[in-house]
Amino acid sequence: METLIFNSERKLKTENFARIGDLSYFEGPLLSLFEDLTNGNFYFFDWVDRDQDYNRWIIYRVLPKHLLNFLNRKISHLDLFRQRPEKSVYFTDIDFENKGYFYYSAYEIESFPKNYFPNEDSYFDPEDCNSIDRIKSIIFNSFARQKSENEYSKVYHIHNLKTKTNYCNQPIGRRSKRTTSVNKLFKAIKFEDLKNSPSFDYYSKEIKLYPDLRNPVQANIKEDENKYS
Amino acid sequence: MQAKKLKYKEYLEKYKNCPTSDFIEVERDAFRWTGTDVSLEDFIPVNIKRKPPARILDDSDKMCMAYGLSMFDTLNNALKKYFKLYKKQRIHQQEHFKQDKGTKIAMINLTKNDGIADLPNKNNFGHFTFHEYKETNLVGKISDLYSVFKSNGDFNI
Repeated sequence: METLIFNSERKLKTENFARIGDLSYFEGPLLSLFEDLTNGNFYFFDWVDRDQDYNRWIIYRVLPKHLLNFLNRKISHLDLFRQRPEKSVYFTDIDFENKGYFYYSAYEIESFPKNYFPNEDSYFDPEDCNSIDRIKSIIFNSFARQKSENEYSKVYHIHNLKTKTNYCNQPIGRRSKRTTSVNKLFKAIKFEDLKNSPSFDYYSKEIKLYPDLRNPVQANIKEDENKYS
Repeated sequence: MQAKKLKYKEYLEKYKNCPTSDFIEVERDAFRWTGTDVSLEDFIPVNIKRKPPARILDDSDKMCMAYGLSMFDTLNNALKKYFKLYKKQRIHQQEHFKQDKGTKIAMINLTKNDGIADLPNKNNFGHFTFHEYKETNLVGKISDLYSVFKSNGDFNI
């Protein structure tokens, strides 16, 4: 297995990742799509190497529009990798105990090995994918969600409105942690208005899309609720 | 008459309806990727093998199917699927693929006393999963062995 130079100080937190589906699968996943539930970003777990004790995965972010181009075979796996929005590529080595990806640390690779680049002629093949409808549905949802920077935060905001009826009376200091104009927008929306809006069903479904959330995720959503309150 | 028991029952029991009711005893030719010197190692399900470890990201990968054996309905399908997977891998992974899956294709005539299988998947090169009975020895049932690669390294398609 390739010896990697990596930065042990720079870790990728994967405990809030939710697995969406496998884009390539044979006797186990080869290329899997995840969503970071804290910010809605998509990541690939791309199997690149193995020895007798470990399987190695590289992890990198992908944009929904590039992902869709990949699924529509407009761009190759290599193109998708090159178009990643963040230069950082992480890796994780998973041993035979196979405890689950979130138990293993993912570190940033400092010098990316040439032989870990995807093949130039490797394109998505729907025959290798066991959950194409679910994957596409979640990508389309993310387009709607990311229309503006503010949109995604509404998911958390609905939680707030459901649980905190006196939201608008929260002390200003707690709201000021966020530097964008999200809070100004939220202040103008009442829960009743949201409930009657066409978006409400969508966001409610969005929360229910991940019934198998692990406890830490729930805990972090609560933390995020506080960030926006 | 003794009830037929499946191999790896202790693992299969962990799953609900494993294998599912569509798995039935079959009489058919089957084709499985193997090493050059075929041994019992070539007939160990991926999730049982420790070295190299199975590719598992979370518990959803620890599925019933992974305790069965991958087989194909025709030699041509077995070759085509091998070719497709092999070509998609990075160069160093192609070597691993050869080591892990072998470079031969064994032809086996499965009978009802050997185990149970699902139907070949027409959308996946006639792939099907086979769960052996406890006493089955598929190595002894190999009737022919084909090479995946020609002597010049090209695919034997």
